[in-house]
Amino acid sequence: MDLQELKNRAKQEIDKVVDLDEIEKTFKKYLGKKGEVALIFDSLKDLAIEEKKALGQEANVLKQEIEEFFEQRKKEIKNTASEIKQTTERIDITRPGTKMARGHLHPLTLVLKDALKIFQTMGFEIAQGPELETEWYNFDALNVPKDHPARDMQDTFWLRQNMSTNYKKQITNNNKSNKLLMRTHTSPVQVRYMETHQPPLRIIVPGRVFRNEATDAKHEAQFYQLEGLMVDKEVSACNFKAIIEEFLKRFFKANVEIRLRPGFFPFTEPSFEIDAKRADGKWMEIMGAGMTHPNVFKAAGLNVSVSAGHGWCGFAFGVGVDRLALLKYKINDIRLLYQNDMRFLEQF
Amino acid sequence: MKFSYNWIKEYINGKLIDAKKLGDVLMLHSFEVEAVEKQNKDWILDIDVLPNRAHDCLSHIGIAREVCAIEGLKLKAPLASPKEDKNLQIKDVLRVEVDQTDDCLRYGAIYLKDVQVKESPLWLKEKIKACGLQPINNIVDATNFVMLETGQPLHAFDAEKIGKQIFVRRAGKGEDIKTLDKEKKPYLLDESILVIADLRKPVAIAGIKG
Repeated sequence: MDLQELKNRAKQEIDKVVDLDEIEKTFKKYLGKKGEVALIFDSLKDLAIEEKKALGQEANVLKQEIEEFFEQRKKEIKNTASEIKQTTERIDITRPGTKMARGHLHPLTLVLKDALKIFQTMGFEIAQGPELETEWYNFDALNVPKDHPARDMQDTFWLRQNMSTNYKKQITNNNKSNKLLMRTHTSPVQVRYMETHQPPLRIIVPGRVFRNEATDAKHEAQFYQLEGLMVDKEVSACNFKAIIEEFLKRFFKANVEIRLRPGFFPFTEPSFEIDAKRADGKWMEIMGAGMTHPNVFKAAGLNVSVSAGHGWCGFAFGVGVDRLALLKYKINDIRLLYQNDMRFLEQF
Repeated sequence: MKFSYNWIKEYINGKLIDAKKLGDVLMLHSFEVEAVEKQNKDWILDIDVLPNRAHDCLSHIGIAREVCAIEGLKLKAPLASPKEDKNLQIKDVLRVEVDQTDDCLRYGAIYLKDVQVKESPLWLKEKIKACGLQPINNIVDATNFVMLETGQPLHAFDAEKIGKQIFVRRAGKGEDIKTLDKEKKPYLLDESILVIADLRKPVAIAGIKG
């Protein structure tokens, strides 16, 4: 057995190996239990003691040398592997990262936030009320008696009247009609607020309202209103006009031409409707308003002595938030606001 | 409600502004005008009269009165001049009884004789059509004409069929009524509905349908 020859052969073979799996195989072939080096040790038992000693030492040296070859080769393989990795899978820290998808606000939310902020700077406080209302607050307290034709102006979603008595107690008020409905406007909050707060007051009420009617490009069965109410000793329609003009100016960041037309709401007298001029020169109705009807103050338990300067007076208005959004973003169909089409929503 | 421009003009002394302008003027002073459309030689105005003005403006005279007030013109309201038969006493041919004055403050009736039911003249049919109604015959059209003109709903009954008495009363439970239009099913009535009735049964739903 030529140990030198074996050593060269092993060295050559080891140097050819390029990956770690293969090196294990080669390791077994030479240094395994039945590997070539083991065979040499096996062959020793047949030799004379002197020879055994000499050859044994040589074989040990050989074994160590081959082990060293393996160790070295393993290191080399590992080094080249990580080198390859470093060149091919290097992280380019200067490259811009992929953007995370970020949420964004719905156009209606944007409009509402904007509008609320503007009114708050003018001293209006935000008030809210339930979407599920009673007949008393939605109609009776607002001077819309049961058989009055004005009830037909707002098609109403009435509820089946069998809800839990607990909730009923929460939202109803002793012997006043507690038939349930989805509120058709945010005006019930006027009465609710005035029952618990003393004037002078200025409130703004954002909220969703419901109408039992067919939808088209200008009408939805549910939409947002922004109700305003200002009550003081001396409030007139002039105050209303000034406040609304200021609001629109700040909201659209431009001078918006408006006009007041006579209208009718049972809870205001006189009543008017407010149109804003669109970019195309056409008028678009954006809100209803008027001087609060004394019966509304009475329903809320306020003193309404007629002589000027003694009783309370005020104005109220209801803005169609959706209409504001249509005007602001030049959208031509109100229904787009509720369809959750991403191609539409992603533009805001 | 749909209004005929030419018809409104009949009740006005002096020169009336054109239909488009009339729409604008009404819009800024009184009501929302939803449409002004040309129809043959007439203009049709679709005016949204709200409940607070229904009592005085849901009629051609009403709108004419409103326009006169805005434009400083004079109203030319027509006067009714029926030929009276001095030999006939109304109480001999017709009696009206109102059950509860809460339901009906006043019920007026007139007895007409020598009536011939036939097709309406062209001018009447055109007026009825302009306001979106269907001409039926001279009697029905006449009642509709007066309603569109004055805002007062009225109904004609055949004196031979209803007898000498008219009652204004609440319907009883289980009563029903068959109306003039082609609907086969009779309407079911109850105590919440005010009816005009003869001795036997309801003949009209008060102010609504007969």
